[in-house]
Amino acid sequence: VTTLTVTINGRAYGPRQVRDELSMNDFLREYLGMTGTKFGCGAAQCLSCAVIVDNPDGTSQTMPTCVVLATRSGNSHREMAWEGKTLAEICAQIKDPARNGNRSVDALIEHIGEDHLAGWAWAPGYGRQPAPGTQKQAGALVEAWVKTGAECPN
Amino acid sequence: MSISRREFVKSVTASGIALSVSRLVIAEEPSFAARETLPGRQAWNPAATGVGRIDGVAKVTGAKLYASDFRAADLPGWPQNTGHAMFILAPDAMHVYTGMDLSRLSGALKPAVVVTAADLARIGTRVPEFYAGDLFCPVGTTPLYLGQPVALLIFEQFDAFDQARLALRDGTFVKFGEETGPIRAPDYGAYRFTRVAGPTPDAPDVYSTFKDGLVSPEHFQDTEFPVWAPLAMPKAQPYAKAAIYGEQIRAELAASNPALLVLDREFDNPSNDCMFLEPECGIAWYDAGRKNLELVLGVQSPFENAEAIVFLLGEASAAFKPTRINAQFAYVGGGFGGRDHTPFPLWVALAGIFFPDRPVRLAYSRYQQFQMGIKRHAFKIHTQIGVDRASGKIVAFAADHILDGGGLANFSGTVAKVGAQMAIGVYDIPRVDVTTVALHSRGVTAGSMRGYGVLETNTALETLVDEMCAALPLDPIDFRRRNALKAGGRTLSGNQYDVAIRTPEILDKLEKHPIWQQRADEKARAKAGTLVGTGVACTSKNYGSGGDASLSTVEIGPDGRIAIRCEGCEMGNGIGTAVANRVAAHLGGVADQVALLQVDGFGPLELVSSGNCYTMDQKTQDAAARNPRWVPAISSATFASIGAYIMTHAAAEAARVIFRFGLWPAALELWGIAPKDPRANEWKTARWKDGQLVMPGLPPLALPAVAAKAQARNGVTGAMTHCFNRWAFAQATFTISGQAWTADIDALAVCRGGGKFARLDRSNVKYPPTDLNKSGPTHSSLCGTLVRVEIERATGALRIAKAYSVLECGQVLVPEVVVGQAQGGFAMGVGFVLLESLPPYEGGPGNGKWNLGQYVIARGSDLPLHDLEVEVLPPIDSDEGPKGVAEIVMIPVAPALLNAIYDATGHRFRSLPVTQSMIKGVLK
Repeated sequence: VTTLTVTINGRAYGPRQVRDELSMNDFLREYLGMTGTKFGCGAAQCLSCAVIVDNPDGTSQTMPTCVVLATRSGNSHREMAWEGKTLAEICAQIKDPARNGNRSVDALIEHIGEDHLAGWAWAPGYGRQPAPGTQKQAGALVEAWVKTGAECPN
Repeated sequence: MSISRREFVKSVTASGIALSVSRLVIAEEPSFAARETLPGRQAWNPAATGVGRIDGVAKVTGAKLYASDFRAADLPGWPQNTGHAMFILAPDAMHVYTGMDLSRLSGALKPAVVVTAADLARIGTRVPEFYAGDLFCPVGTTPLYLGQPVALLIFEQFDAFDQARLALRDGTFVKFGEETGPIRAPDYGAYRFTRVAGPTPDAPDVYSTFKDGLVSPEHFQDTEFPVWAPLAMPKAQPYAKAAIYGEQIRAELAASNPALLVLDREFDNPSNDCMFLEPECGIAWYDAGRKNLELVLGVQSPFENAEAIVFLLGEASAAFKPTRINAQFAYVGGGFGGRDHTPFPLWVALAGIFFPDRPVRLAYSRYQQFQMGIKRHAFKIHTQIGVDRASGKIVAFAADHILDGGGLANFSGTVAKVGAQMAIGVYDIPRVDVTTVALHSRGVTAGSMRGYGVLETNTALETLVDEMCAALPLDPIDFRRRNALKAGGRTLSGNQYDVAIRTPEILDKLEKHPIWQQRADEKARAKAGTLVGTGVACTSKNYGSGGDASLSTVEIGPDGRIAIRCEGCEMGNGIGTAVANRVAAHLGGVADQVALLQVDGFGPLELVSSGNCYTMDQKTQDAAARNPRWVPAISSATFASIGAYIMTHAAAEAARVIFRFGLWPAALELWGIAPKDPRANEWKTARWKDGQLVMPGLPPLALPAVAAKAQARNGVTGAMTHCFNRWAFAQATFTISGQAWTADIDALAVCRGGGKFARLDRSNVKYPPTDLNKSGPTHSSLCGTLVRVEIERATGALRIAKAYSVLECGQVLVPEVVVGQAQGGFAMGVGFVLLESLPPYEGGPGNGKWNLGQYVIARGSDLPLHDLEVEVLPPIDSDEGPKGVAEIVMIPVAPALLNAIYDATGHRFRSLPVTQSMIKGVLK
């Protein structure tokens, strides 16, 4: 349980105790009765639930509230990004259920090899550079990695 | 809120439950009514100046107005706390369901109530015929379909519900035993549409559905498919006659005839999800002491859904049977057909009944919406088309459609029927034989979805026509022109259209458009590594279902303020704005208040109904119509593209009555024109201009002045109307202010000087003959689309470079809404062809694992956002009324895109969707 104080559209809410696993979407809709934030897919894909969060450092970012915890001021997307990370960091990250959409290592085979969302990397649309190889090949590589112990480099 | 309305007399007496149905109005939110008001009242004629939608600002600023937005604390008089019900759905329809293991829900996570099939059996619920099938799969049986509910778990507090849903997320607690294979069940409808035209265009048909009736083949035990062959049954049967003619047409197409070019092709499309933004949801509160069930729902068919709940609980044991149900309806976040006759509200009501005295909310997750929500049918289409090489005319056409209807019947039978009735598109073909059958399967239930069978059959048709043009060869526009149905021509069903047929104009527009004119140049100019192709298609789509009703009330105050109540459902279609504009044409001002989903509130009309308007015979109709309060149907769902034509019609007729018997006599008095003056009868000449009533040679009168005078002289200031349409409006005569008034309405009440509404008896009512029940659609709109694609040879990536849709919809009520429909229809057409696909059965959405990651719909990057041109033809004359447009604008997009892909790649894809990897595959 966390005590949460938050400013929404210029108005202060809280302090209020919320469960640590409560999503920001449920906090806004179920606890505060606010309806500008929609619930569409619950999987950070339609973004009809997005809000803009102002960071302490003066920057702002869009966050899909359906997959972000009410108590979290960070950005799950930023945490999921691979940019600027070492191979070891990326490997640890994709194995971490807290940062991979709550997936087991086995579930990553299907996610990377079959999931259409992941598949956009290889079919990013007209004029964009696709990821190397094919999704099927990537799935096979992940499967081989998982079946040989899913080790991460140091 | 009123309790029982006379229109619900039937339900009340049958079940002992009083039903009240209304639009949700929140007492604590006075600003809501203000938000509903059109902005810029002074800005006369929004149709010309575009002042926006009545609901636009409220929607984009997050106002609490969608069904999903309401909790108990928002609702006046309800307890504050909201309980939450969790749907448990079966992800398996091949094994016996053996029960749930809820051991992981202990302590605070234990549900307060678990509702299962056994509980329904115990209290004695009934399933309405339309939704026939167990509402919960009983333990010990195999689920009827993937996604069939097995239980509702109800939690008192949101926190427990939230934690429990996390604990149950993997779904493994639903247990299955022995493998049985899928449950088999009869089909949902099988029809044969055969037409043999007479020897000349003027001669009557030799055989047609319109002439000889709708026929269905017979079934024999243990066959999944009906038996289509004519010989299997006695010749005397009506079906055999159709089948014999049908087989002759097929023999003609199969014969070796060098004069005839015959193409024989298969085409199929997968099931699709409606993918509206707001998953289905509802909230219920059963006050057991008062035996009162309150509901807040969001559906396209409020009247029918409410009646279904009355039936569900009508014979329940005393403790579980309300004596009163008050169903309130809120805006829905998208519908596209998927909220028309959805079974979802039945479970909302059950959640309330089994959790007495505490409000409870039930909502699908998106996974569950995929798993259980109404789907588009997967179609398998086999077509044979025969063209006379010399004349380039289609002489014969045969097709067989097989639809996968999924687990429950829903609208499968009528989707099959309409898809077949419209299967020859815009063409005139003298010999046609189409069979269609909608089958039961263990898949997710399919029903109404934008296009309603016509998208599917016309995509197959228009791509085949394109192929035919290449084979003959003939220019695609020229071929369509030669074969287009002309005014007075007969459709596949043998009936005629009662609207203008504007195919030649649409084809001219398509032909002259730069996308078409420059198609060869653009191909030649293609960049290295890029393939360019252009495609065309032209289709028609019926609007109306052949049995549609609408109700409206219009009132004008002494200050000229206009209020409208109508029963249409706002599902993004702009119906509120459309109805306001339609009334404004008669009353000179844009409504200050438009209340939608007003299903009740028409009590003064004292309507009664009986029988089924789609199937009744003439004798029954004639007898029933003698009761001046009887109508063939009281209310319709918002469906079948009826918004513009039928839903706004009742309001327009009400406004006409107010003008003729309220405002016009007031204006005469203000002008000092005596009743005997010949000018007193020239009310049709009067026009509204800039909020003033204008007559040649007379001073213009401002609306408030006229309205105030109407009020003061006790003229008609309000009118309440009902209309019914069976391919034509019912007409009746009423005596108003001592004068006979004949109009396309069958019930009328008026109020004078702002007083109470009083019903007027009708005389000389003329209902469209019941013979029209055999007719195919007689109302249709047209749309043609051009698409130019660019395909990267190396990757198969496709981009829509330019597109053009040209449509006709009669009088345009709200230009922005029509264009918006065309843009949305374009996006949905692109999704249908390139992206959207739900596999059947175990790997499909019934497994509960589908979301937008797997099911990709068209996004901005898939669409020609700045390169889609929409043109709307002006009405043929000032008398042409509005025509339905919601579905037609999607349909030609799909085949035009497929034809463009063929033009670019030289490959005809006959199975949807066409993915990038498939395109890449054929380019190797």
